[in-house]
Amino acid sequence: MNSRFNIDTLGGLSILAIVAFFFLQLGDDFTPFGLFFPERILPILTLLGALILAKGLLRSSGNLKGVFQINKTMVISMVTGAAWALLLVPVGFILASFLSMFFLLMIYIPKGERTLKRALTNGVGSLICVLFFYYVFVQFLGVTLPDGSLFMD
Amino acid sequence: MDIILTAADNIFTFQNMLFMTVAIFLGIIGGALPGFSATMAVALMVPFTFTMDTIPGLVTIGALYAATIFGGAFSAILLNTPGTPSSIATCFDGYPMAKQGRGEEALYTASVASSFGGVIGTFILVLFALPLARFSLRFGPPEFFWTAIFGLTIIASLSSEAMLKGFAGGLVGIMISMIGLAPIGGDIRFNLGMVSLQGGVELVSVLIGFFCIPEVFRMASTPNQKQMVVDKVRGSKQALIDAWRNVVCHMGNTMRSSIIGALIGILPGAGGNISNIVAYNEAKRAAKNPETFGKGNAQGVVATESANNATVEGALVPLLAMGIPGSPPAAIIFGALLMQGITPGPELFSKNGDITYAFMFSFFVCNILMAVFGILTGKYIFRLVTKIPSRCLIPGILLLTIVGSYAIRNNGMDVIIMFVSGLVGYYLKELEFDPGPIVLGLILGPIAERGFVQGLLMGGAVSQDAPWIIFFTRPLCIVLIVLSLLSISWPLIKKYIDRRRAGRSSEVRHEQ
Repeated sequence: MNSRFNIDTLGGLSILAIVAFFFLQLGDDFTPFGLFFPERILPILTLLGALILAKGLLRSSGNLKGVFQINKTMVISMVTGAAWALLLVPVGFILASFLSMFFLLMIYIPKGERTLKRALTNGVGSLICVLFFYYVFVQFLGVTLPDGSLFMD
Repeated sequence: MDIILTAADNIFTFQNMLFMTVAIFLGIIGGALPGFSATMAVALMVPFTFTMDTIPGLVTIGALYAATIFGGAFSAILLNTPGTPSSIATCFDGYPMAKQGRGEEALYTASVASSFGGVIGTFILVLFALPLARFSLRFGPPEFFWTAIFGLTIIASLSSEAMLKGFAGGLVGIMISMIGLAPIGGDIRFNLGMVSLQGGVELVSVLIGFFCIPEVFRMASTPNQKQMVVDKVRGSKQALIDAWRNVVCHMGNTMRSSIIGALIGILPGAGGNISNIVAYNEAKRAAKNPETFGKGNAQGVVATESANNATVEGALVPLLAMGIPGSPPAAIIFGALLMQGITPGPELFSKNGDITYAFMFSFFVCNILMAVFGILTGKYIFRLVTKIPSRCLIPGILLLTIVGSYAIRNNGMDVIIMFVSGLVGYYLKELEFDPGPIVLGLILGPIAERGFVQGLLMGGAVSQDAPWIIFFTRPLCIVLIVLSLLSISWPLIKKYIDRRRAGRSSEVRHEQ
């Protein structure tokens, strides 16, 4: 890996990317009141991003080795979490949560220990947990958790 | 003296003590649930109090409010998830303490510190309500702008090891806070054309995302490894003694943090979410060993927990004395008072003195009860969390975070924002961007923007050529500017002082 590509250069580039994300959305239709503050913050943020980038290029410190040590279970957890968040409204809280919890519990069990009995135990455990939270939030805390727009008329 | 005796007589009834106990129990559970805010807890309780007599009703609401803020410490310490925004900085040292096997000590410290903070806040409420409320009304938009800037200067010491990244993170937080409706002008900004983002980004969702989700990902990399162990060598008794010492033997930190909490609570619009970070920062600044903060220093927990509980009473100062609710829960209490036929304001202390003082004095009792609850339950909750295998804890935490973020506004987008914040938080943390400054920017951004634009409008009315002059001419602004300059240059001042001290001691050694 290029020694110049370190956490500072990546950090600086990330900040500049964030600046671009906001800058591209600055609209002509904004009122002066809405435009005033972002127009002052974005140049400062650009400067800070450039400084961090320059620091990374000049000093070559903070090697990327040891950073982003992502393994398979971590990626599966991220993808499952993302799917859980995205499917919550269309599929509904109970189904989305039960499937995600059950899947994660099964994935975390070492391969040789995945038996039908454990699958059943995890399935029942996940269902009880999800139903308990659903009941408490809907009945006592007045939160209407999504029932699943896909299944609604 | 008579009024104190009457208040005590009104509070110490079986009914009041029972209601307070139930409210504290429910409040701690509610506060520990990420996403379940003090505002929601108080709002849910208010309808139940309509049928109660005035004093028991108010006492119950007050106890619930204080306990919810305290409850946030449980999830902050055990799961690195601030249960309420008032416990953000509790994560900084509380979670490392729990990971070191000192979870019981951290929970006991939070309990004792919260109690002390609440009691000190109540003293301030009882003794100085009226003058402090009048002082808080002198804060206009320019003062609020400089208060936000002063808050942002905390980044200098929060991230003294990577200041550039700290300030960049703070500004990123401010930019995120601008998503949605502009505070002045009403523009819809940076929402990518999505209607669900028009209401802006919910602070608690981002908090959960930045603090909790990266930790869950890290746990997921080794799901069959224990994340926390109980320190069986020291035992619960020693943990309790240590917790007591953490608070009482460092009374300077406890007092300073509580006063900061109460004063910030008095300012309308500012609350526990700001006070806990400011108090944490001041504790770090004043400490002889600031490098241990963030690595499990109990003084960090003392500072944040005493500050956020003192803020509860601080927020009641403008409400009771002037009829101005200083925080969302205070606004709901305002409604509850009106429903009970009591109009908050300067006349409250003379017209309904017995009820008002009973309500204020009830905070003494509830803060002490809260510590008892925290100590009694802390041991078992910590042990329970350590007994749950990580592979079960991870889906459990994810379930909690998803329910919590959805519950804030019944909005699926908040869950997605929480998860995206988690991914961004993980990515930035790996690049050594601390989540603290980002969150600070997110909290202070709207206050700074509103203060800045409103201040310019005010300045324009005074002088059209130089509307900005208003920010530099008002006496309170000048004080805040000086404080901000001192705060931002503090790391340099500290370095200079340390160097001089080291030079002097080497001279003395040389002479000897």
